[in-house]
Amino acid sequence: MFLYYFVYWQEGEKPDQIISSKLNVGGKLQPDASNGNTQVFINGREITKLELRVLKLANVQCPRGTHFWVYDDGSYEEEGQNIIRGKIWEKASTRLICSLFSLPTPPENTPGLREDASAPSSRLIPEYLEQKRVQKLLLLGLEGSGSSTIFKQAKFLYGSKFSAEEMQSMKLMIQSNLYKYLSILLEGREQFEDEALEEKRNRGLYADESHPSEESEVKEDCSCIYSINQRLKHFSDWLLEIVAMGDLDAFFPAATREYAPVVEEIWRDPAIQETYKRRNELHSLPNVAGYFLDKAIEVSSNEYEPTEKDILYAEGVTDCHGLVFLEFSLDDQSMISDPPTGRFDCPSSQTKYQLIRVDSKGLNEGCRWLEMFEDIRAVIFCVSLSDYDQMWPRDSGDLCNKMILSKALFENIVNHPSFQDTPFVLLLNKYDTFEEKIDKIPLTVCEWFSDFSPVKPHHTNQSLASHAYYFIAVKFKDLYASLCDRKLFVFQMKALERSTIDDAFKYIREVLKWDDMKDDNVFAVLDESFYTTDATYSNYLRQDL
Amino acid sequence: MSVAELKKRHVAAMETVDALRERVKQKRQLLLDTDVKSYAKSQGTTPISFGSTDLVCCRTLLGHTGKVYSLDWTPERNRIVSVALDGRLIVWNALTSQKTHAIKLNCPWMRACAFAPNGQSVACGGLDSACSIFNLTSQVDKDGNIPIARVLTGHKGYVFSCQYVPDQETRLITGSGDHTCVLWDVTTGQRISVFGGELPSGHTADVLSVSINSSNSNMFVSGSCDATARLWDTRKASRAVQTFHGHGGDVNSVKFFPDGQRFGTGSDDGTCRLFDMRTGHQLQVYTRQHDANDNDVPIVTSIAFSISGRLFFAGYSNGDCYVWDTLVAEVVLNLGTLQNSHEGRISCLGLAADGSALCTGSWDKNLKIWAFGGHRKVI
Repeated sequence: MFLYYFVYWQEGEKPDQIISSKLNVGGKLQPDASNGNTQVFINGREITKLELRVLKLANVQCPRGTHFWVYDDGSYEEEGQNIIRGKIWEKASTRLICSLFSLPTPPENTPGLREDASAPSSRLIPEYLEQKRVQKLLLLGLEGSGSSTIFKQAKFLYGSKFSAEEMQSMKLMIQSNLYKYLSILLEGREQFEDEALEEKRNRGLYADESHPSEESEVKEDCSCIYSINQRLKHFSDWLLEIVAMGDLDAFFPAATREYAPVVEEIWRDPAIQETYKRRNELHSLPNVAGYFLDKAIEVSSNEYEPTEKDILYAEGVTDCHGLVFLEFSLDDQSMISDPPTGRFDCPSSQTKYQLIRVDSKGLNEGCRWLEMFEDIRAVIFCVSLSDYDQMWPRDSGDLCNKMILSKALFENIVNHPSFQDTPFVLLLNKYDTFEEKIDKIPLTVCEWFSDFSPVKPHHTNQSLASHAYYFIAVKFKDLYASLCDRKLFVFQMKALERSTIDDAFKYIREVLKWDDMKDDNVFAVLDESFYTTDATYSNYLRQDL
Repeated sequence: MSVAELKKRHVAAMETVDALRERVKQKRQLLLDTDVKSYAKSQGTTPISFGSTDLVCCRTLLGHTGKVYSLDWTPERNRIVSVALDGRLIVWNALTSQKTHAIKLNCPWMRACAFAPNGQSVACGGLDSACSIFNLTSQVDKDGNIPIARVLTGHKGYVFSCQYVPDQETRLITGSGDHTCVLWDVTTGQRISVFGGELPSGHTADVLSVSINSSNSNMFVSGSCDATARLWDTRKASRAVQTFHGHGGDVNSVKFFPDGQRFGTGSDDGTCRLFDMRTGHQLQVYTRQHDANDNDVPIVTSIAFSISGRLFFAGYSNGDCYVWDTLVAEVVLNLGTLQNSHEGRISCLGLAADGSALCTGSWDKNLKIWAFGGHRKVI
């Protein structure tokens, strides 16, 4: 088709003159005709930054990925939409600015026929229209960082209800996880029992030294607080064996109902409760284990339907570690970035988002599929603040500080070639758990934070937790700045509280808007506090909306 | 026995295994007195003469709006199925370039697709950690889409590769990011066997590629990010028959040689290798000429053998598609330099069942069909 907008320019440079789009000259305009790199297109041509600046000054909404169609008289619409949005060069100021930048403007009076806007057959409807304007967000983080909770909260907030299949998948996941938690406890119990008996034996030997006897055998006392009866030991051996063989999913959740009473009995057994007291040493036991083991009978029944709380507490979203995604729309208007225009009659536009959550299990150094996400608008990286004193097994099996592992994963993702130009938003999660912990366990147990030396609390009115939070945020920001020449956006949250999720997504929306603007608007320098937010910022947001 | 004692014994056992492996490796090096190229040269074999008119791009299949990740031919008739990042599974008539089906997928992040032996179903798998089966003869729904006939779930990681067992409509093998391969019964959706995983001798990293022996469909080979290829017997899932070391990086592609006695591999280390099934030897390494200007060696993304095996085709990440003379280990043609070649990475390629055409798929969103021209029909 023969649709020209600007002609008479040197290929690769900004345009020189406006010509009617109806001229049958030469063929379709090449997208790279002006060497534009703005990802905004006019009549098929990617425009230059200068032209984009003019569009923005003319109050044209043009986020990345927009394709416009412009007519002879300067009126414009989004390709294929058949709704004239306005006229680009309507205002005298716009025309003035164009002439300042040596950009052409259409003649005042355009004689001749006005192209019939309602004749779609004269234009191609491009295939990208389907994906137009969907802002894709990639959500990820280590196991336990809260990324799956955030996804599920977003689904409750903005998405449709969980389908029957999704509910079934989560139910099966919860049920089989019950046995996973149990196996971790039982293995821990065995280990603690071995250690306790070993210690007892040693004490027994020393005791006997003062009374040497002919009998070399010390009567073995085979019980301690971690010992269980023969029947439960039988079950324990069996369960631990199938877990070691990788056959857990061959038996569970299928046999869940059958073994539910045993689960209950074991969980209430004093030996297991003693083991559970030392859960800080059981590194792979998640915090939610106790919550589900307490309701083992209920969870194991056939009629069990996970409550909203159960869903949020459950680890993961699907039972097969596949990725999950969710589409939703948010209003574009916010008091922060859009000053009041006095035009109350214009409808608030919405932007479609696609939130994609990937499991951290596949995210190792040589990740083979992350490049499939090079078109995402932002990476949302989740870290649990309360991980600073937790240990976690590396791929090789040996234990490492979990916060350090999060840092390593963060570095891997930031350095990935697909995300060279992608803004990163860091969500520092589980602030409430962190707050409780920080007074008892110093931040310095994590070697990355070994230089944390807080000012004595009574000199400032900041709590220790707040102080520590900012310290961690700065650590990540410095790390990010050392890896690329951009600034990291940081947001504090408690993923189990739905309001903070809503605030987080509004913050992300602002980040994306700013990212769109920053290339053109010299004055779009953000206040430093925008880069690091905490609860006070989200309060501010809530007041104004 | 206490946990601590068990751990000690485990460490000692692993050390013994490592020492034994090293001894096997050294013995193998002693036995390997020559490779294919040296032997062929000593017999006076000359490189096959292959000119730029011998293999021409005769069709470009346009239609995908995202990077193409996988393709497969039907065993009979000239149809191709392809999957791309646009979330579509397209079935093409290779002779006419027409699309016979364009299936919209629920999950657009797909990595693998395969045609069933009878040509009536297609399978695809990817980041949804499942393999979805579509029956091409079924009625379309109100949106014009073919409904999913079955979903094979059970993998605990992403699906990177899938292939139907050649003479059995109802069986399919997948390779996954959970380090296992699985043999499925498509009619029931059940897993028949799991190869690898917690069991010893399984892969220790993502499985990227599988290839079933067409001469003996009980045997298949898998390639993985652990830089090895492993040979499996479907009748005995408990351990791999053989592990093939040699590559210096992820093995992206494995393909059986036409006679089923050996297989080829392509890797992130930029080389292709030919391995012998029975002896386990590495028969030949196919290394590109190193570009002096380029620090990045292009990786091999996919390989396929010609019908006699005298040639094999290797697609690279920089858009090159080398035609190698298997015997003499020389490149006889680079499809990437021909007219009409792809403008991006070659992500997948495959030969038609009768060997008369090669199809390549690329990140430039297109597929191309190359046919043997001139006096030469098929090699």
